[in-house]
Amino acid sequence: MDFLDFNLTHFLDALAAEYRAKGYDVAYQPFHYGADFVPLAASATQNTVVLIDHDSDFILSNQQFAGFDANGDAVLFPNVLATITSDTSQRQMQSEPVPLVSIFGTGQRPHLMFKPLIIPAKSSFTVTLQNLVATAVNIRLTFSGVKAFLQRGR
Amino acid sequence: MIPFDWRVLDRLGSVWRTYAARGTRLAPEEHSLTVIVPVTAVGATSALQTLTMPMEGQFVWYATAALMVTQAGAVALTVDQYDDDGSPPQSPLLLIRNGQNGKLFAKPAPPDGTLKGFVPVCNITGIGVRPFVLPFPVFFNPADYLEIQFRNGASVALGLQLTFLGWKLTQ
Repeated sequence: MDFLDFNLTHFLDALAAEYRAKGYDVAYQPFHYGADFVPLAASATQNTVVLIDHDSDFILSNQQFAGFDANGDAVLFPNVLATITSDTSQRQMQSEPVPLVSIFGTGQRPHLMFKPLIIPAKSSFTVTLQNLVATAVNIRLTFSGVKAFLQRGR
Repeated sequence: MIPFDWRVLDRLGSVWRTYAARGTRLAPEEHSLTVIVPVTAVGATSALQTLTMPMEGQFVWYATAALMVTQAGAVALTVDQYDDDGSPPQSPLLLIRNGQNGKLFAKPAPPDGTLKGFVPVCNITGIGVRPFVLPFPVFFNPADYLEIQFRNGASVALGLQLTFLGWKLTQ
């Protein structure tokens, strides 16, 4: 598969074929996992652990964020760094903390993964945000993708 | 990055092929379903709204668009619509769940009993020219229904017009 020619539908079709080869039928359902930092304190570094449900693997395809201040008004470009770490492998998805707005978009313009990331059921990942400003800000992250429900095929 | 139109058309093709493999030839029609959430006070949560699927055939939900309006009927700008006179509300939250089995389409972390299943409106919806395309379409049978709830975290009272874009499948 040419990852530069990423196409989610084709990826999911190919993944379904892989599951079938292992004897499973798969049903996909869109799903969003959230990571909320409400608030992310002034100049603070905070973690949130995202637990993947037991019922299904999760295929992450795009990432969005909402930033807002204490009045509920938007903070469009929060000066915040993000780090995402797989808890099972301790592998980080970036070489160093990266600007939040570089790897998260909005509902209208999501940040699309160049290759969908398969996160196994019952696993978890940790999101670390570092606020570079001396003012608290509220951040809600949304990790969008599909749940892959497996059923032993006939 | 795949242009929006190709992603949607590709998914329609995938749906069509799935049915064709079962011997069913589909006649998909563009269709949209809208739920209007009444204006909700600052900090309040709306009553649960019900959206029933069309009776004529399966509905395939592939994208979502939303518009937030103030008490006076003015459009409250969303994040990509804002201009220099706008204070775009980003904090309102939205819950969508399957009415039949109560299954949520989202799970926030850390777990919060009062916010279970709520995510920011602006993270999972777009507008007509750029709706939020679901990573995978959802199929509904006739008379299935969705339940929707809106929590207004913005600084002004807001209502929500939420449109589910998709195809109605007749055979």
